[in-house]
Amino acid sequence: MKLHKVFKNTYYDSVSLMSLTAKLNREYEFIELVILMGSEMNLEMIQAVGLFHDDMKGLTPNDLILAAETSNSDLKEKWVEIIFKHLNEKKVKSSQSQRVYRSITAAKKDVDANIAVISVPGRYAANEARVALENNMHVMLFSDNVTIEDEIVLKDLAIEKDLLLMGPDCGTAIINGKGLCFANNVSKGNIGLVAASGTGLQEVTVIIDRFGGGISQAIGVGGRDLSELVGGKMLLKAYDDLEKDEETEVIVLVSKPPHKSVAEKIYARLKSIVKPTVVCFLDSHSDYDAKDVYFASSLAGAALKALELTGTEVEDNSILSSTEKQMIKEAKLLLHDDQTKLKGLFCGGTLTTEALSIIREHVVSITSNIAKKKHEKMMNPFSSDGHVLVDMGDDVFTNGKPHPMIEPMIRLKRIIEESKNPETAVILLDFELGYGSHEDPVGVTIDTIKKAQIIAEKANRHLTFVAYVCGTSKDKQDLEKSEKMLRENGVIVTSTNAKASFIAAQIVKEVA
Amino acid sequence: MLEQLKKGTFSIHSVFEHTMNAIYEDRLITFGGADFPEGINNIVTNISTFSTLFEQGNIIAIDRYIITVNDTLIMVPSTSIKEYNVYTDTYDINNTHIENAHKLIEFIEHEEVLSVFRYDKTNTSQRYQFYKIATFLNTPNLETAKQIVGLGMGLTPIGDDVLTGYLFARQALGNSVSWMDDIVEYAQNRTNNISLKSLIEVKNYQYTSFLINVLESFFEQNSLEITKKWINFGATSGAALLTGFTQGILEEEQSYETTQSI
Repeated sequence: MKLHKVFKNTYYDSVSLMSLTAKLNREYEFIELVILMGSEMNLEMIQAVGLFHDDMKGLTPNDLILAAETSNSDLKEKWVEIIFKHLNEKKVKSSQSQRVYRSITAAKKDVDANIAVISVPGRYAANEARVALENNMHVMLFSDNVTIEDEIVLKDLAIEKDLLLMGPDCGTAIINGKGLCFANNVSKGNIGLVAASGTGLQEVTVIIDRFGGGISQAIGVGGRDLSELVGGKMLLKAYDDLEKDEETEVIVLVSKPPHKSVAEKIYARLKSIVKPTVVCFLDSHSDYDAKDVYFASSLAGAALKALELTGTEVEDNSILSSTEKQMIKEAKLLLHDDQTKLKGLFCGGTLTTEALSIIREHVVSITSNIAKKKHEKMMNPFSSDGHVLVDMGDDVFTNGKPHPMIEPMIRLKRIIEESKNPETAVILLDFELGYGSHEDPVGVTIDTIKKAQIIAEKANRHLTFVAYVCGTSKDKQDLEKSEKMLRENGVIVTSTNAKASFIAAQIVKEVA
Repeated sequence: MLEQLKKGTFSIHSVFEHTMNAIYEDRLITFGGADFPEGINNIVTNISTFSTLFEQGNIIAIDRYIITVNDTLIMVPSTSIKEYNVYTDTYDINNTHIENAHKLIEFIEHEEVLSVFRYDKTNTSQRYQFYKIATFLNTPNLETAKQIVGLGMGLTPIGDDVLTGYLFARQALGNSVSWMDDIVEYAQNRTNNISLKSLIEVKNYQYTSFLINVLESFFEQNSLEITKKWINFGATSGAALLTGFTQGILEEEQSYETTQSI
């Protein structure tokens, strides 16, 4: 069945046109599908592939042509609607669910909002954040490329006005039960978080939800807050706020290692606390000791300790079940002699850091593009040699392209490359669900996993995949379905990133 | 370029998330946000998302540096308001440039799921497009160029992008293409205004700030850092532009080797 539709003087950007063509080809039974501008050459091409129709005569290069061939008769009445529904989805969401104002001040007069989420180019972001603060709004500053000098001035202003300045480069927060930017749909509860780490915040909130707890507030402070110059200003202010918050009974602090001077400030603050506090500074060690302050070396450990402190009974998640032990044993038996290495390909930077802190204890040497230690720094993030953990959300990969949490497809090529590498024994993956993330991160990856497994099989190798899905049962992407899809394709799926990292390390441990 | 715009009104031709086009007199003007490249037909503004504010057909009113669309005032940074100069520098090829052009091909193959180097050969329409583009790249002349004008997927057809990249490279090396004027004239009415804009700007040496950065980094600094960013344009445009550019550079390879061996 051949279908066509033409639209005069109609423009959609290439990214929308291309991604939609790929998406529809995957989801529906199109033998051929073209979405093209009506130039003479394109009309010739449409003729050559057998999709031309007389309605296309007289079209100009400024007109849009949809043409398809399919064996799915159900599509006949609805295919155009499907295409335009997707093309217009973004526009409709923008125009109908939001009122548009010319300035923050104008918006504030009309709406009396108490929080502004700012995501404009860095050059303008600082000024817009200042205007929002001056209008007595808390700010979530998603933008990056804000100077450190501006960050300091803005945070000082926010503190003076008793407001939060979450950011810059803050992509995750949950305020009064509402997820901002990237966040998971978690239960409301009595555990509050302050995090200088997006996926770190997500992982801890998700585990708390999974194991029966809930979140009062999860405040992101931006990745640079705990640097020497910024001095942890916003983390300390947010901590004070959570101490005063009636809903919060336990507080969790999450970050990659802070600057030494900032760590000292934080420890000084923790000398006089009113609520039990769990501290997780990933990949760092502290001898600090204080009453009601607990240190966790992993995000999962921090989440489970917080739950324990609220009186929620939790199992020790670090212990492997008999099933998990059996899976490790079987995976090791299937390895070819050459297969000795682990390749971690991550979307979440903090999850990469956590994996590194765990896996390095079990293998001889490992490198990563986000490693802080010189001997662990990956020489070339585009090419892996030995055990590696790659944060594919790092700027070197994204650089103008969507982050892999939004568009997981940028990781797919790398999965195939690693599957062709004879030394690869295990590929470790993370998937992030929730607001802002791709609508089906596992779904778009599963075919690549299958293909990678086939590539290895043809070379008489067995490739083990270990995966962690960071999400809750309330997230729109369907956690259960995502995990099931992975398991059905032979992937070892775990309940925390820490466990996934540990299991992956065990598979290669003695073989290294 | 705002210096050259006179007082008046004109309507929006097309709106996308981060850019907007309008036909002003006989040319297409593109509005973009803070990071948008400056150019003779580009206006850098304070707007980052156009699609939420404007629609095709809205009227733009302009009076010197004051631009309004409906009730929205569009601000133009003062540093963007300046006289535009045509680019006149040309470059000599060396061995590093040739090596880097080969590296760019590897980069395109590696990075881009859809290019003349890598596409789904079971897909009829893709085979059709890329066969014609490959024919042009193997034998660039007026006839093979005509076969790719307006050809291919994307808002700016990838055939146009390959052609634009190729012409850009040839000009940079001081080797103007004898059929350049003919192909640009041929392209009028055979491709859309948005695609034609890039082709005409390159033909007239009216390079955007981004293209100038590409030339300076590729030829003067022997660096691929900025050139590689081209691949991020659109969905396939970037790879196509880069493909044409590398072919334009590598045409010099044989003559360079001959010269070196004398």
